[in-house]
Amino acid sequence: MSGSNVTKYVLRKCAYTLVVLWLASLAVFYGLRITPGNPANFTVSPIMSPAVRAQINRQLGLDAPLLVQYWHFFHGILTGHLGLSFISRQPISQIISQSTPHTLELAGAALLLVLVIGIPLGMVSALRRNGVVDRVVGLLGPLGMGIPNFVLALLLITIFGLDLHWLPVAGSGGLKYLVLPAVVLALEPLVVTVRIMRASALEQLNLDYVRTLRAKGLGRHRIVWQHILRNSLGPIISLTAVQLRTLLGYTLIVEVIFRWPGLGEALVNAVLTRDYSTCQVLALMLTSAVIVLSFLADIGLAFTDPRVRAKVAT
Amino acid sequence: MSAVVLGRPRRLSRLRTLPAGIVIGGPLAAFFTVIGLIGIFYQYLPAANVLWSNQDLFNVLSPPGTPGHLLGTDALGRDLLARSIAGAGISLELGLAVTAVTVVTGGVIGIIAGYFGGVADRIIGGLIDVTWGFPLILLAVIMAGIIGPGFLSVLVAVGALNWAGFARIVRGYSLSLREREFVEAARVMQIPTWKILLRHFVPNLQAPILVMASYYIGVTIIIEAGVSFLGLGIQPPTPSLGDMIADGQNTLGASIWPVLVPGAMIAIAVVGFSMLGDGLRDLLDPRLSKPQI
Repeated sequence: MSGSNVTKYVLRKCAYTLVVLWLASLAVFYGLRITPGNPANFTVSPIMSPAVRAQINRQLGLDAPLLVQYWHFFHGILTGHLGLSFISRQPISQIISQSTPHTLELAGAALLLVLVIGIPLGMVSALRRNGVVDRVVGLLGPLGMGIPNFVLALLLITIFGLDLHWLPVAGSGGLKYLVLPAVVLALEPLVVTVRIMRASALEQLNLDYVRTLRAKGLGRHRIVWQHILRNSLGPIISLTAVQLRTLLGYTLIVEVIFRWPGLGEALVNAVLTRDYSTCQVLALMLTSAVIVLSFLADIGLAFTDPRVRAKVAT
Repeated sequence: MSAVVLGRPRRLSRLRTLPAGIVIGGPLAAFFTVIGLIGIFYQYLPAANVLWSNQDLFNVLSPPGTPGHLLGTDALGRDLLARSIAGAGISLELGLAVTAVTVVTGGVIGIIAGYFGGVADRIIGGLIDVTWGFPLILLAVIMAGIIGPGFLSVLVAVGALNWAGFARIVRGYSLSLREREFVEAARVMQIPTWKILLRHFVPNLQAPILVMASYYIGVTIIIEAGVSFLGLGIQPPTPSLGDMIADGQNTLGASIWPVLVPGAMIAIAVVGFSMLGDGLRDLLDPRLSKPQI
């Protein structure tokens, strides 16, 4: 394969991703405006006179033609002037800069748990197939997928927060606050990672090079943790971008339960209070994050899997 | 007589060779379906409304086993069992409705992309790329912002994403079906295209339809519960499992049953339909893959 083909593939994916991002901005903007119900109706009491309502519409910039409004919205996003929240009058850029670090912290901690626990666990259950670990993992897997994460969260809150008083049940600040939300967020991606890692390692175990290494007299430890591990990590790398996408979705629920002041909680609150301006920016921001992660997953797959790379190059 | 005696062990052995997913997931899914059907009656029969909306204020937050309340009551003294059954009804209704819609739209779109190829395939492929893998819960929340909280926004969100997962698979099937001899023969015989698709494609899509439908019913139920839990899905007073759990969260220190009972109901549905899907996949076509939420 040639390098230029891969470059072309990346560039094509880049252009495609930019188009999708732009379409997403259109969808979010027009979606919120097509539906009946005017933002002014939510900020002003319905018994207010039409004149007051018109004035508020003018203040919020809602009396301009849609195309002009879209241009303001789009221009604002590109230049970072995101405007004010319709409800709290707080600058939206401030909401974002306050809540983004929290979401990154939570998602990062969950991802760390997924990788640090998932990879060795998948490896061990592949090495000792049908052993104790493998069976326990196989049994708990479907259960971990089946219990809705908000139910699990409430169970953990009851046990570790309300009964044992070991951990705080809500808010953020310090490692103690991070434990429960991170564990809840990590559980489902963890189950998936263990499963994929196990399958990937099992595939490697039967390959010729393992037999060669063993015949060479290399220690079991080194064969497993150096050679097999490295070769079976390929699927995990591209999976991670997909997992981050899943994590991002779940932060909405987990942040609300644990009163974690992140982007997910901010979006849910904006929707609940009908805060249009905040809602459209946050929705577009999270949507863009998902689109970019999908792009990274595709690129990651192309770089780590020789089969995909070959297909790309042709 | 002897045929009957000989027949039994054979049937038993067939049961033993069935995939574990069907043996375990099948009964769970069937159980939930029966409960859900009862729940639909609970919801629509005015006489049955009393069962899940009646407040027994002398028995607030009572544990399971309280006389008259088999699984206990919530903070307003409403019967948890009756409310969970009614909530399961909503979940099942939504799960079946969305899945029926996605299977039909995803199927039609997938067949068109796979059979005709070319520009249609490229456009549909791009659409699938964009929608597939988008976090469902995020779209459901955004939809609640656009349409307003309720049954419809959950339905639109789940439908808008799940058709893509299904279309992707059907497209793959159609691509390989198109090259099969019997399709070619039908084409040579100048049978109209719609007839080929209806007679030869649709029956061959049984495997992915059954497997994916089973997965998607489970996915829809868990998403509906999640969105309703956030207060953006089914609105009270209609009982929904997610909303019940959100209510139970407020009295978690006093009693865990208002969370546990509807939570167990969701878990039964999700584990049941997901394992049934796994089992059907092992039985019908191991190449199919599970959707990520």
